Amino acid sequence: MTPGPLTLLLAIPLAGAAAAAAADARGERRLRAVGFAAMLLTFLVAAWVWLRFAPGVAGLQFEERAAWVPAVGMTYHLGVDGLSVSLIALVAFLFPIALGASAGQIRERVKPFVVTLLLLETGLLGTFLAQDLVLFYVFWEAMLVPMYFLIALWGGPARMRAAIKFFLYTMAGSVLMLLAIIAVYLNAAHQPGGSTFDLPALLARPLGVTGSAETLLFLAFAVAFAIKMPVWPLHTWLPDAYAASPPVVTVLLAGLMAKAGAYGLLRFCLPLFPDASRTLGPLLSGLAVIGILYGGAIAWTQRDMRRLLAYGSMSHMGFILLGIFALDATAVQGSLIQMINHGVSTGALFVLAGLLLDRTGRARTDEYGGVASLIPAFSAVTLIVVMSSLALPATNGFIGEFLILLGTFETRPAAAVVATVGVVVAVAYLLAFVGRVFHGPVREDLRGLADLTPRERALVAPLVLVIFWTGLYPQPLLERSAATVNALLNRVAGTTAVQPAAAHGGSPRAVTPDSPPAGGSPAAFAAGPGGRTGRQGR
Amino acid sequence: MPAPLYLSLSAVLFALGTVGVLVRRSALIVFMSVELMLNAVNLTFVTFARLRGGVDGQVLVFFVLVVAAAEVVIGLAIIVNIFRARETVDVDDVDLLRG
Amino acid sequence: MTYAVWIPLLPLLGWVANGVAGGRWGRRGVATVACGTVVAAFAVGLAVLASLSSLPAGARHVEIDLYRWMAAGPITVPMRLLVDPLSAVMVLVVTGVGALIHIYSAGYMADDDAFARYFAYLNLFTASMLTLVLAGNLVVMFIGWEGVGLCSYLLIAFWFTRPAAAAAGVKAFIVTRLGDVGFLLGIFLAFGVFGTADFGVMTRDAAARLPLGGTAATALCLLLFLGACGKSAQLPLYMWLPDAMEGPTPVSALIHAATMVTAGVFMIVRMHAVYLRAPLAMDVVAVTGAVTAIFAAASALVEPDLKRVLAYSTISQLGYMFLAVGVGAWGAGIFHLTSHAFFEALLFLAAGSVMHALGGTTDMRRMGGLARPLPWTAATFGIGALALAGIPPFAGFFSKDQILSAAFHRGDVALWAVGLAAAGLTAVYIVRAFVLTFLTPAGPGPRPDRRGPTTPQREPAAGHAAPHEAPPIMGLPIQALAALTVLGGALGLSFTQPGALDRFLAPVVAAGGPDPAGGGEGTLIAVSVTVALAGVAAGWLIYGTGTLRGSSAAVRAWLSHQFYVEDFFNAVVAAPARGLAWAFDLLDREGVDGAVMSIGRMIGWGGGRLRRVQSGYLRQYAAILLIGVIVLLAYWVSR
Repeated sequence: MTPGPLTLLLAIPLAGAAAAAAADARGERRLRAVGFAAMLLTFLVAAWVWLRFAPGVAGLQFEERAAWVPAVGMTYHLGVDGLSVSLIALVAFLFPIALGASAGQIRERVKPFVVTLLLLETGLLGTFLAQDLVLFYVFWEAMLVPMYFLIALWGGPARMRAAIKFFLYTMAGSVLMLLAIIAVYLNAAHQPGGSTFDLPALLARPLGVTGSAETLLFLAFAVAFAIKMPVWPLHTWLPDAYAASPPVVTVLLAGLMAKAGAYGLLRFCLPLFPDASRTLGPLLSGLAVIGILYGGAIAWTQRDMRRLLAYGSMSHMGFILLGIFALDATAVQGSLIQMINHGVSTGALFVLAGLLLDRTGRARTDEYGGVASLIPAFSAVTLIVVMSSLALPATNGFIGEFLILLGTFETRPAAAVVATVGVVVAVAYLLAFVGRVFHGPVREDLRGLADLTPRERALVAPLVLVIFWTGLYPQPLLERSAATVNALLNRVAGTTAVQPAAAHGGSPRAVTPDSPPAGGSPAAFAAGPGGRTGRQGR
Repeated sequence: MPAPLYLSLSAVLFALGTVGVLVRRSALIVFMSVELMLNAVNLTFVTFARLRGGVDGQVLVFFVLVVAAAEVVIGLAIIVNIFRARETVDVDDVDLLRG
Repeated sequence: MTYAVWIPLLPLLGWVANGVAGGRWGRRGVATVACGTVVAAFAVGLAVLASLSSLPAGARHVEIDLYRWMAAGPITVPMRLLVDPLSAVMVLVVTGVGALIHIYSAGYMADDDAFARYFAYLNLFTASMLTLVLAGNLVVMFIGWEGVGLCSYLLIAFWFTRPAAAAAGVKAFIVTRLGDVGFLLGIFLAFGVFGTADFGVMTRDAAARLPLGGTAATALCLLLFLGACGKSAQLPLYMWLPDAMEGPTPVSALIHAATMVTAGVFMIVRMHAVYLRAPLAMDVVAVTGAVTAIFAAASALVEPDLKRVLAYSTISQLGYMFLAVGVGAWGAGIFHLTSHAFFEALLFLAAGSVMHALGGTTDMRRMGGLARPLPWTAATFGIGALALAGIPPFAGFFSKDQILSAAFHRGDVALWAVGLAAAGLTAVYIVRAFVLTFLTPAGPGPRPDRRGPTTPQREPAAGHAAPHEAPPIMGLPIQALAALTVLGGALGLSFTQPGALDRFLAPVVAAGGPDPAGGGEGTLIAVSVTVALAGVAAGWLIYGTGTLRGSSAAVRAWLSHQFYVEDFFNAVVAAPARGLAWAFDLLDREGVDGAVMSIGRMIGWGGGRLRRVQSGYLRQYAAILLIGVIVLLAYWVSR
């Protein structure tokens, strides 16, 4: 096998980390430049992959596969499909911005910071690229460790407590997932066809998990992902971690790592355990609705800027969960695009909060006032990002929330109605934030606050552009995910073609452009091994 | 001499060693007691090797001897270091790992 | 007719230009760009009107698909504009009145520090409003719908260093968003019923897809009406509009009188085919409108603040419009919307002129006798007041009368009577406002008003010394609006057959309206004119000459608290929501996180117990080892 672009995506940040580790620790500018160059190069490759990605293909593209531990069927198997291609681009897009925004926050131990950041990028990209259960698990853990150090070494006063809480929380979920991965493997081994850890190959054969076993395995996976997202009530590491990390790390924590959880639900839970996904869908939708309102309401009460944004982020992640378990093509597509939006908007909010904290050192919103008249350009950008966060039409946030709620309204109307109220809650806490920080009488001790520097303008400009671009013309994102989402939902719906799906409360609604919805259970998921060879050459 | 006598001697030596480990507080004496136990086991090995007419037991004795030699080196080094640090080799005084 | 795209696009470009580079080309440049784009949009609107009129009546429905906006799963939402007589009329109202107010603003805001920001917002508002009226489906309309809400927030809170202004902006945004929940759900329901939210399709298929009076139709209409209530400040979501007067006065004229607040009426007319399938929802609309009309008119009676009086008059007139569309008089609703845009903008701009002369005062108790120094302002305000009161031959008389007669002819005599009573009250309160502002001798009045002395006075501070007329750049737009108010009645000038506006709108709203005119029209007119004149006379007798007196303290308290609607709302919705949020916060820290942390603490406690085993005594370990060996040996031997 010759290494393709996806291996390159993993290799560049890793090589960058090695280069930074070998560089002289005193040359801060050079270290940042090395890191930035590696991230930019990664972004270019990711952008190339995104542009060359063929919309309308449900299965994996740019696949790479090599034997890893053949004895137990572990493979080095990378690939992108509609679920992951835009997320890859998002990861590669946010990292350079985070590194750029770190200039004011990370002044000590720059070298380990750059190295850790690049390792984290490798882990994240690997998580989204891996198509083998064990490989996925390795990357999943590989992104946890750098994140622990990023919080523990560069965080605020409460960093150790927050880092340990974060680590233990996530590890608890990961262990469950590891057990479930092994259980899936062993179960399939008793089936005709043998077993493997290779996900597409696994999906193409009978898994031998049914009934309560399936529910248990589903829950084991789901808990791991739910902690990462986070889903109510497994979210309590989030406010501590978000508030204790340096803001640029929170950008990555909220903007990217949370997406890994949502992505895991779509990549593993839904296709591996379709029956459980349907039966437990209403439960998870309920948790999503609780999360939306609960997170928003708590955000409303917070006075610490980052805790406010943290709970707000949790509220928005609720929409993504709601969309996934609506099991409706519109809603799942909305969830996927909302993952990108949330990454961009919440990421931008934390970037801006970080820039403000760098300038003033004030964490509480009531220590500000009238900032909009002091730094107009900064405030204008913040306003745009806030509007995108509260889903104003023509910004990206609207596309996601609209599609999610629209799709959910079809399959779970009650959940959609309650969740729509969350739109008002978002206005309440975000405008309270704007009102306390940017509006009101000018605080005299803030006079002389510096507006955005040209470098900072260059950092936030791409974010603002993406906000409007996605809001006005989301089709490139939507069309890349359409085919995969349809195939996925057909798989979820297909396994019970015998009995009417309506018996499960919410009947998954998927559109089938070319194949009937009940057309043969696993084969409907076009990522089977048969469909793979033809696309290898892309 | 019949085998039971060898085995009895071995058992007595082992018991002596055990008691020594349990009751003595000097690290050196404890150490010597451990050696005594090891050699009691060696005696058993040789006895059974002789009884069964094979060499496996005698081979194992060499293993034990080698391991014991290595252990003596490391163990004595530790004891010397403890003595340097604490001016005592009383095992009851060394309780840094107490929970 | 693709060039209609330029109607919203031109102000949008003005926004981008002034927003990005407004600091560079000076005030004159900013004002030229901002006003120029809106005037140009008006010109394009006229061209659209001309080419629309040249089409046969049946073909006056042009859909412009710009591109495919969203396609996910089975749904597709195109970025579609719809040009038909209804949107053409609205475009002309928005750009026409908007252009006048833009020009007026150039004078009114001349001394403000944030001149460029103001015009950027104003242009963005115009672009959003034009998107709203030109939208080809509900989702595109929602872009404009939320866009105007955003601009309303930004412009109410324009002087954001004043806490009252910032709070009023937030209140406006949140309360209208409360309504927008309904609007959004309405869109979802429309997709559920029609598979699309396209106006053309919905109008065509409404009869086929929605059984008359069915649950779906009623729910859809009521949900959308909830959105309209928020945006158009109808009961119970009216309370943001009086507070919105914290914004600059031209903003109040443009957004909170002439255009944005009428969006709800426009939306219902746009969706009239669906509303016709839900008679119950129509009744709700009509009753809400009528009750709001009289409620707001009564609230205006005791309001001491000139701008807030005008705000209540707007709410009240919007009530009339909802009454009109609620009884199916679509054309009358749009007619009143148009004439209201003229005379209400006129009243606001004249009030702005007064404030300009007085250095920002809006409290009528501190005004008086201004007719002498401000003759033009007094005259134009008077014209607007007469139009508002429904005195012929001003525009307001024709449109209001059409609504009342439509209600009467549909058999809703009760609604007609309520509307008539509200008309009488309207005459009383507007005469009061006129008298207190322009005629009675100036009084010092109670000084501490809502603004408070501590907040910096940011309204234009020209002419502290002696009140004087505004410069021509402000005077001319007022006079133009006065002319429109005088002549605007001609749009509907006809007692026995549909007026010009009705005839133009006919292709859009032909279906199902009531008979435009029945018998007894003359009597109805006579009655309503009599009521209006009686109101004027009563107002004059009470406030002008002081002949009539007498009011009970209880009535006064009820009126000045607007019947305690807002207090009720605060007690029932706002306060519990806040309490719930704090409860959640407590629950999160103590309950959910407490549970997680207590798991951690339990493990820690267990470890603390367990570590006692590690005594640190080597010989104890050895003894335990020995015991273990013995036990194992005993087990093996005994087995």
